[in-house]
Amino acid sequence: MRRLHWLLLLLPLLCLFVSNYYSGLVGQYAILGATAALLAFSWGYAGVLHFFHVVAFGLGAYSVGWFALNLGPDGLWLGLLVAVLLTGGVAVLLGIAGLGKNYGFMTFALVTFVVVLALEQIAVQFTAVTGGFNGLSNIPRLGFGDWRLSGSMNALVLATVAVLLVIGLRWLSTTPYGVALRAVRDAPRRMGSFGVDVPAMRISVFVLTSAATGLLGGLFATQTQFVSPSDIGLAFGTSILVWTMLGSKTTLLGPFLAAIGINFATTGLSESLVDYWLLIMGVVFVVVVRFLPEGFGVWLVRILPARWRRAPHVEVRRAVPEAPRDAADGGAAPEFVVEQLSVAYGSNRVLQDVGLHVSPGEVLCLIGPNGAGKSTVLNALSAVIRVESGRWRFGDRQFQGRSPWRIARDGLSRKYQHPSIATDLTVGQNLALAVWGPRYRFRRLLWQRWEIEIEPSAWRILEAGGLDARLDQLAAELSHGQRQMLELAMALANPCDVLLLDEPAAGMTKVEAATLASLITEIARDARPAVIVVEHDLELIRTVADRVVVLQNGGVLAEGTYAEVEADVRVQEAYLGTEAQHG
Amino acid sequence: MDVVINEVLSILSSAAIASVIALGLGITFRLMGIINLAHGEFMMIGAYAAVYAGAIGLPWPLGLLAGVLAAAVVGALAEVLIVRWLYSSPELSILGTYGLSIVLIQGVQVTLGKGYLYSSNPFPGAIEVFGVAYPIYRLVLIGAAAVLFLIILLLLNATPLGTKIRAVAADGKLAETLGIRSSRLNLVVFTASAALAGLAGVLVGPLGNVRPDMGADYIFTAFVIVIIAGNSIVRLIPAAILVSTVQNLMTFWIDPMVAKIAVLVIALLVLQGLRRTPGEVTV
Repeated sequence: MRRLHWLLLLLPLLCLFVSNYYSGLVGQYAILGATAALLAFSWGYAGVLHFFHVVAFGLGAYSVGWFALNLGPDGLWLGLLVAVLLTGGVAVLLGIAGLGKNYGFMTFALVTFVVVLALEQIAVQFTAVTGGFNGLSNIPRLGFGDWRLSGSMNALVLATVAVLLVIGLRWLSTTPYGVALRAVRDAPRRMGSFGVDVPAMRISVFVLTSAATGLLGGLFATQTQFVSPSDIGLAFGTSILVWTMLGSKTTLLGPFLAAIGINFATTGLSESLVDYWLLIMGVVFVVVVRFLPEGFGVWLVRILPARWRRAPHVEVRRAVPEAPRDAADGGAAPEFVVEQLSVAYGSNRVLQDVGLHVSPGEVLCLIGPNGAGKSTVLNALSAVIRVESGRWRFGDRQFQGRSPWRIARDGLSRKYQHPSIATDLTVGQNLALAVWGPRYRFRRLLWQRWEIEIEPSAWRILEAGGLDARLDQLAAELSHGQRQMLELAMALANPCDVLLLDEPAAGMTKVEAATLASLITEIARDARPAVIVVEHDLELIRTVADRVVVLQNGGVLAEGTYAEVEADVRVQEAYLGTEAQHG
Repeated sequence: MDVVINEVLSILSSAAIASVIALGLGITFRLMGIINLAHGEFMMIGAYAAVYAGAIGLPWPLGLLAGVLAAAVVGALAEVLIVRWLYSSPELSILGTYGLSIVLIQGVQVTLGKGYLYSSNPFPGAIEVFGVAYPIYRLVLIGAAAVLFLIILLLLNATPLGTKIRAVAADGKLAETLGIRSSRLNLVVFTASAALAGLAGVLVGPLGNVRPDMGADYIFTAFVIVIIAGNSIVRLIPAAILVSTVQNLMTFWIDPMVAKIAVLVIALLVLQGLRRTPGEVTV
């Protein structure tokens, strides 16, 4: 299967055998197909929905047109360069503004939509450069000086570039970078806590696909030899969206082939039905959104043999254990210290001046009645929510005021209450992303092989959960308990100094919970992170806790060993007493 | 001095129009999480209805009513046929309303033609304000916008219906367990938003021309205002004044195109400047 898509290269060869008219169409439609594939990569694979694709295409076409007409025919090469740099540059600015802070994707879709609205009007009004409604015509074909490609040879070059681009995108989607994009799409918060710079991942894919779309737009202009405001407008943008949706945005070949197929099927229709064409497009679009949002491509993928779409095998090795980290440390052992942590949701104060300290190898259990602020403590420490005030550090490493992924990179690891692993990836791939998240930027992910080393403690969890034999299985096929184990293994895959566990035993059977309890004790003993556990299961707390902190109404009510806390009258009133009545 | 007063009044009346359009957009966004890209087309429907009502001799207030009703009916139909099936996916709801806007523009173009229509001004003439003669109609717009905001805010914050609507906005599923019919309230909110769009369409009619793609002239500004205001309805007012000030002054002194870009840049800067909690879904 890996090789089958090279068959696509037969498409450009068509240009040698058909008439000038049809080869021209092959060139144009292949470019449009690749444009749809680029949108699918950004939207379907990475979850970045935007309307900028049509602006990028139009900017590319206008730059080639303007440079070729104003600097002489060879200016078109400069125009192509400008097409890539200009669209890429605008995409960087837009990306930083709209994707830089983990906004919901709706904001970004809207911002890019507004950009399209503005640019379409600018293309009409800025006549000195764009030629207004009339556009720019007589754009030369590819070539040098007086030597220019014929129409069909130009189309052959265009179709080849388009096909190579789609093949390149397919390759990209199978690299760790492409797989990480899918994980970011499905579980952005989780990936952030694994140390992945989520905004940078999104911006990178947006810039990459936009710059490539700019190039395609520029090439397109050498075939049609004409650019007009409709190449940058919403109507054209809608067509690209329709092709992408119909072909399935979660595939690349689907949108590519859909764009080519639909365009050939409707050749001439748009001219003969000119008054009704957009109306028909609009109705088709609404019907697709309402009834067929997944598109046809996914149906095809489902009937392919399973071995054709098998994910790559990930080689998982157990790292050689280091000597215990603080054993030889003469000075004061570093501690995880939280000071005066306060959080408010609106006017509702949830945490008030909470202070905690945990030494390496120590397990601290946070307990308290519902609403006491236990999970809020963990969310605040891992920077998932904003804190009002407070400082927390490990040794002299300060964490407050930093983004979730930076905190993760500095050795604070966290497991969420509900497992939020990427379910359409394998166990091995999930582990690999957890290992690479804090270490590699996206450039490194492009060339990284599917090989990882995980910490011995993570390996022990995999064994306990029976996951070491299921590395190639999709995470979606795991039981709830196994998912909990996988997520715990992911949190421990890299060495960490601080480990935050939010209800690790939630949804586990009694036997699983007992296994988990002994694993937590072992991990604290061997890998020596400072561990904070939020848990309701008193049996588990009794087993693992070195110390217990009781929270009530956002403040620390009591602190001590399990036995001390259990004996505390205030605690019995606030928590254990009511618990005992229920039990 | 006269220039200043004139300019201030222009800015206020532009802000009045823009804020009414943004108000309709804002309530579907704030209360339903829907970004309605067909809002400008609901405006257009309202404007057409008012023009046709005038053409058959109905007085202006009835034309206003016709515009509001026409937009409300189209909006309600759109909600029942399309939008309500897309609530689960904000992404699809954006695309669905986008498709709807194309269908409405093209549908009107095919049936009623591309030609420009003009609606007559119900309050012709000018009145003297601080020594400057200013069109009465634009002053009426400022008053109308203020009254509309007051009504909507009171409705949302001081009536049982408003409480229910805000409950559905906070958590539709939870509200249903309390016996509130989320789907019906969503229909009410979406229809009300469309009616507001229709009203805005009627109001802007006399200021320009009425044509199938007239929504595009206004919707850009309205979206920028909603982006700046985030999910707050009260903040729409300062946002509208800010955007109108920049747009009017730059259009007047420099160039309409530069004004557009400047407004866009402001929206992006505001997005940057607002410290919003990571992961929070806001626009």
